[in-house]
Amino acid sequence: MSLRFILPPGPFPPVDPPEPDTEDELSDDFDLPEPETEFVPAGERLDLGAVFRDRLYTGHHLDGPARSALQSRLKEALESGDMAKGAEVLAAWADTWSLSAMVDDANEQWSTDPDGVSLSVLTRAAEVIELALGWKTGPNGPWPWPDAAALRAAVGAIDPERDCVLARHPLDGAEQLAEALGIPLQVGNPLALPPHVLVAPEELVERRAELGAALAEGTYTAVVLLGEPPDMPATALARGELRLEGDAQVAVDRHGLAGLLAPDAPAWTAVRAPAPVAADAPPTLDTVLDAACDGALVPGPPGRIRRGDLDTVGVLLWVGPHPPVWVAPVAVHVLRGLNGTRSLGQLAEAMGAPPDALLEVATELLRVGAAVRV
Amino acid sequence: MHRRQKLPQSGGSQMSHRCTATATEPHGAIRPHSVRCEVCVSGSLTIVGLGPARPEHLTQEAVQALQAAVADPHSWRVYGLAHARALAEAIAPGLQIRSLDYLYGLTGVDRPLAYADLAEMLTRRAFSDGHHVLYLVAGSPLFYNDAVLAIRRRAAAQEQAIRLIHGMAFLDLVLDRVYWTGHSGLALWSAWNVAFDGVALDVGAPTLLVQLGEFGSSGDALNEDRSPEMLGKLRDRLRRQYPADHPVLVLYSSGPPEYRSEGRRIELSALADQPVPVYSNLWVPSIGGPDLEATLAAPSVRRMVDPLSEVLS
Repeated sequence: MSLRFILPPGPFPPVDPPEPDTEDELSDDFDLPEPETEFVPAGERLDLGAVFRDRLYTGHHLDGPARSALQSRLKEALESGDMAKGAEVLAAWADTWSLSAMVDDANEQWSTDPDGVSLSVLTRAAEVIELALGWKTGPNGPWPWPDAAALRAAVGAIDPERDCVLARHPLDGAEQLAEALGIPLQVGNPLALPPHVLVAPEELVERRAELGAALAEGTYTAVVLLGEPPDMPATALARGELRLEGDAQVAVDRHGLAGLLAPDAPAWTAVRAPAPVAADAPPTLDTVLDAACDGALVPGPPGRIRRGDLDTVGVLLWVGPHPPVWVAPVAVHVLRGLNGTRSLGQLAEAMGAPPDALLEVATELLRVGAAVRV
Repeated sequence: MHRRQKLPQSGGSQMSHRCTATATEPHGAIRPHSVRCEVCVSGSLTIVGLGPARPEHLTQEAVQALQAAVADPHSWRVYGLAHARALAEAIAPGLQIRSLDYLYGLTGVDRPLAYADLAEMLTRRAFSDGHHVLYLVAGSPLFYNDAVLAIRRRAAAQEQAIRLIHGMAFLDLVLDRVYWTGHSGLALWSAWNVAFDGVALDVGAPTLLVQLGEFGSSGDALNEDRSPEMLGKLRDRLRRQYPADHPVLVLYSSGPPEYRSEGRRIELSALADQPVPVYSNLWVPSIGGPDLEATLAAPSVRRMVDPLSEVLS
């Protein structure tokens, strides 16, 4: 009987090419994904990282099921009075628009030639997916760890005589997976990663000089902490030195071990840029505009929700690499009225809006790239 | 005294040795070379003063240090804060400078602690780890620079020599807008010392109060909005020694890219009436001193006109 080696879903999306198209395999029920036994040739490997990547880190998933799930989570959070959670979920929900346009390319890039931008996109996607599915973070980095039901469904029927978990790094979660599935652990070839060292958080301050020297010397590119160190000035200063000297330290702190493969990974906020804007004359009532993005009405920008201040605002959302723009609700009403055929004068009449006020809003929509002239 | 750094026992080739100093110049040689140094096997620490503002304020020695570092990036580890980095990068494009800006954003870490930590870290990097360290600072390293002071004290305690590349101090720009005779001396104080520490001035000599815009004992001066807090305290303290109508000169820079020396003359009683820019200074003329020292001097021309080009035009 040939063995089946199961690779854990961590510590980051694998770099082998994604499966061509998995849209039909998506399940509407996030907690119970469909088994993907077709990935498991007998006697070979089942890479759970690839399974969940191909199922979850896709434009289709983020644009559909993940967004719907986040809407439900947002409602739950606000109803329960958890404003911090509500703000976090709303920001994630708004990011599903840009992520849906970016994540497939990022996956392709990461799978062929890992780079910093693709890692930042995948990391943000991971955070969004984790919130949508309600999963916990895995043993390293921001990558969500599937719940027990999702794991079992992805693995399919388990045969303890034949199945084993392959460990490739102390932080890949292999031990955790073996325990969850009740199957043995085998040590495989270690992941090919640039030199790094694992350090217990309580050792950080006392080992600071040694670690700083090793990073400056190039012996390691980063220090991977095995947990969150105590919150005190000496810790903050020690971490500052590690980031100062370690070429991949900032990326590792942000993305986990994956940062070792892309030390120049930018912050998510630096990955997107405002939507392009055409330099045209201000619109008139004869101008015909079309919407260049979606608009939605939500209970407030995340910052205000966090403060417990709920009030309807608009948000402009691009299916592209652009951050959401928070606006007055009227801007969303006008945006929804733009259809590429009627003039602004006709729209003002249809909406019963003062023409000057509508022109003012239309001008703003053009200014932020939310509308285009036809 | 040299501290000897352990070198690799095997493969101790020239390439394995970071030192770029020569045998005759064990410390401070700027020109890197590939010859293994027989004398100095420890690192070195060089503090480079970049002058107060414009690239033309740098000394030739500072420029050479930056150019040497950019020419041989593997031999030098260069550190600096934002304003020093911008200036250095203008002189030596491509220079890899490690940003120390994080020291200003750490929760629970005030400026004195941050500077002490910086000093510990850079001396360790140089004298324990054996790297050649360039620490870039704005202005002169020797004027109101707590980090440099801490580095010098720490290095002295370890019996290690550091190299100082002096830079033009901000004082030169400040004095551009006053007529200081020097006849009755000059006192130099931090405005904080007078406003909050109760330092009394010698009214018989002019005084320059520096760092006028700060509002915290740890040196916070990120924007001008909170400067009236300091100015009000300072005005009240000075009023104990000077009359309300005593003239004072607020001296500051126009900021990038021109960095013109600016100033305004006001009565002491009006000192807190409006905010002052970050990095402002206050000139307090002596009581009974020459009127000249209480006068706002005309601004100097930034660049001298070339007489030959004037003739040709």
